[in-house]
Amino acid sequence: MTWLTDTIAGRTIIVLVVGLGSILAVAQYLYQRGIEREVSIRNTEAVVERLLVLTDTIMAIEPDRRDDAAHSLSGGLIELHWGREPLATAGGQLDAVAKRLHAGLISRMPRLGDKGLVIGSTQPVNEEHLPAKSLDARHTTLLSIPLTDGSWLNVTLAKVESARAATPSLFLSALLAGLGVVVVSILMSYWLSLPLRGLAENARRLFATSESGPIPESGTREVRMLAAAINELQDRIRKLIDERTQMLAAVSHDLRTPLTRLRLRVASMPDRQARRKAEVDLDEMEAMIEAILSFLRDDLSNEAVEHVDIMAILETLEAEATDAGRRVAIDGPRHIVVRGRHLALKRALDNLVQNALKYGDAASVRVSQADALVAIVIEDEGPGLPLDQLEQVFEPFVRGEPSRARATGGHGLGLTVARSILRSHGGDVTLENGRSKGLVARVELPAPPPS
Amino acid sequence: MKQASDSHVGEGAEELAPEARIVICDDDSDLRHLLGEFLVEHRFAVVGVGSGRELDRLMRSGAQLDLIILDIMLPGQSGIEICRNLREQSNLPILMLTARGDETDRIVGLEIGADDYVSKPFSPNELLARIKALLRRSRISGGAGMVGRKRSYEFEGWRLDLLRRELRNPRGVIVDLSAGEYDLLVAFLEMPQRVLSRDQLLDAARSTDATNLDRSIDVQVSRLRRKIDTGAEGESFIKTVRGAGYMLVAAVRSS
Repeated sequence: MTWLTDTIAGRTIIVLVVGLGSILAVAQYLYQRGIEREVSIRNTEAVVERLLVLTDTIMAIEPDRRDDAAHSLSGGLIELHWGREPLATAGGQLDAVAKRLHAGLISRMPRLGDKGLVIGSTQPVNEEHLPAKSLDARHTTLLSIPLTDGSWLNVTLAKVESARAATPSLFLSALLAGLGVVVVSILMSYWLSLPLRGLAENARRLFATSESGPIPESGTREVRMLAAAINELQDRIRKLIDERTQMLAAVSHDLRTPLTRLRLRVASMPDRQARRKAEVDLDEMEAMIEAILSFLRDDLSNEAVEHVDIMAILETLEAEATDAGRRVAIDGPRHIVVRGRHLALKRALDNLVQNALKYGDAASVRVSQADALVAIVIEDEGPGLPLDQLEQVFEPFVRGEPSRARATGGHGLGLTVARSILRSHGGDVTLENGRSKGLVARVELPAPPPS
Repeated sequence: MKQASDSHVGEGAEELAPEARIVICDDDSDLRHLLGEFLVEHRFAVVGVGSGRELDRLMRSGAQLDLIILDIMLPGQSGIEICRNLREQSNLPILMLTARGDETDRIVGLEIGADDYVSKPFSPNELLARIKALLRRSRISGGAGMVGRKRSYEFEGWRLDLLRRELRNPRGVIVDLSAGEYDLLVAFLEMPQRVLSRDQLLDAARSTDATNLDRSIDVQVSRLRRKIDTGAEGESFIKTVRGAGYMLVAAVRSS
C-alpha cells in the first residue's frame, strides 16, 4: 500500500477518490433529502385524497355493514375500522407527515375542523384493533375521522417511507462511480507522470552508460525545466572532469621527461652501489606516480571486455613474484575464464598479491568456481589488520598501521584500485583476518554463462 | 642558420666502428644529450634532432642511419605524422617513445609502421635492450627494415597480436603472458620448426627485462608451455631438442 503514497499515480488516486468521494457523498445526501421531501408531500396528498373518498364511501353504506366494508376496503398502507368511538387520542408529538396530513384533510373537508379530527399516536388504542403484525407500531399514524352521523372512521396509516427503498442501488452506483474514478485516475496519473518517468529513464541510461550528451528536454514545462537543470549540472561536472584530465595530462607529461632524464643521469653514475640504490628509489617513485595518475585518470576503464583466463594472469603474477625472490603459491583448476577487461583485472589481482607480499611475506592463492561465481582467496602470513581497519583500508590513501606502511612503502591506492576494478566487473573484494594469522582477501567475480 | 642537430658521432667511439647510427628525435634537448651520451657509451653513433622538420632535413642529407628513436609527443608535427611520413620513404627501424598508460598512441604508432615502443619514463637498460633487439631483427631480415611490420601471428588456432601484445587461445580467450614469455613466444614464432639454442632464446628474452637474466631459460620455456597448452596431456607445441635447445612445432602464419 506504500505504492499509494510513493507514486504520483497513487497520490493522484488518493486525491481524486477522496475529493470526488466527498463531493459525491454530500451531493447524495442533499439529493436524498430533497427526494424524501418531495415524495412525502406527494404521498400525503394522495393519502388525503384517498381518505376523502373512503370517508364518503363508508358514509354511503348502512351503519351495520360499515365495519365489514371498512375492512374490505383496507389494503396497502391503509387499515380501516369503523366504530362509535375514536380510537386515536390527540396530543403527543406529531411528525411532519402527520401534521401535513392533518392540514390537508382539514383544508379539503373544512367540517372536520369543527367536529374534531383526531390524529395521534397509537398508545391508548386497544391492541386488537391494530394490524400489529404487518406494521410496526412506531411507524404508524392513527387517524380518527368523525363522520356526519357521529360515528368514527379509524384509520391506521403506515408511515410514509418515501424514497428509502432506493438506497441500495444508489450505493451501488456510488461504488461504480468510485471504481471508475480509480480507473480513470490510474490512466490519468500514468499520463501525468509519463514525461517524468521518461526523464528519469533518460537520466539513468545516460549515467549508466556514461555516454556524454544532454538529456532530451521534452515533456511538460516542469519536466523540461528539470531536464535543463540536470543538463546544466552534468555540463559543469564534465567541465570539472575535463579540467582535471587536462591538468593530469600536463602533470604526467611534465613529470615523465625529468624522470627519464634522472634515470639517464643515474645510469652514468660511476659508483655501482649508489647507482643501484638510486635506481630502486626511482622505481619506487615512478610506481607511486603511475599509480596515482592511473587512479585519477581511470585509464583502465576504456579497455574492451573480453573472455579472460584468470589462471593465466595469476600464473604470470606468480612467475614475476618468483623471479623477484618472493613466494606465491597458486591452487586452483587449470583454467578459469571470466568476462572482463584484461589489464584491469590483472592490475586488481596484482595489487592484491603485492599487498599480501608486502605485509605478509608470502601469498597463497586459492581459486574455485561454484555455479555463477568465481572465488579467489588470497592469504598472507602477516599479522593481519585490526577489525576496524578491514574496511577502512579500501579508502584512497589510507594504509594499515602507519608506521609499518611507511617502512614498507606503498601509496595507499592498491586496494582502492583493486576494489573499484572488481566492482566495475560486478564483483567485489573484502578483507578478513585469517583463523590463526594473516590477512585474507576474498575476491568474487561473476562467471560467464557456459557457452 | 642554426645547426639544430647535435652529433655525438666520434665521442669515445672513434677507434671502434660504431655498432649502429641512431637518430634521437625528441624536443627536450637535455634528454637528447643524456640519451646520446648513454648510447655513445654503449658504442653507438648518435645524432639528435628536436623536431620533424630537422629530422626531415637530416634524412634528405643522405646520412647513413640504422635506427630512429622517435618521441610521440612533439610540438608542431606530431610523432605519429612523422612516423607515417618516414614509412613512406624508408624502412628504417623506428622505436617510439610513448607516455605510459597511453594505449591509443602506442597502438596507432605501431599500426602506422613503428617497430617497437618504450614508455617514458623508461629505464636506460630497457631502451638499450630494445634497440639491440630491433637492430638484430633488422639485420636478420636482411637490413631492409620490414621488422615490426607484422601485426599478428597465428598458430594452431592461437593468435598473438603484436600491437596489443595479446595472446588468444583458439576459443578467443585472452591468455596473459609475462614480458619474458611474450618475447620467447615471439622468438619461437619468428622461426618456427627450427631449433633455437638456449643462448638465442636468452638473447630474445633479454630484450624486455634485464632483471631476469639469471632466471634459467628452461624455467621460462616451461612457463610458456603451460600457457600455450595443446589441451592434451603430455603434449606441447614447444619440443625439447636434447643438447640443442627448443623448437616450436606448429604451423605459423603471420599477417
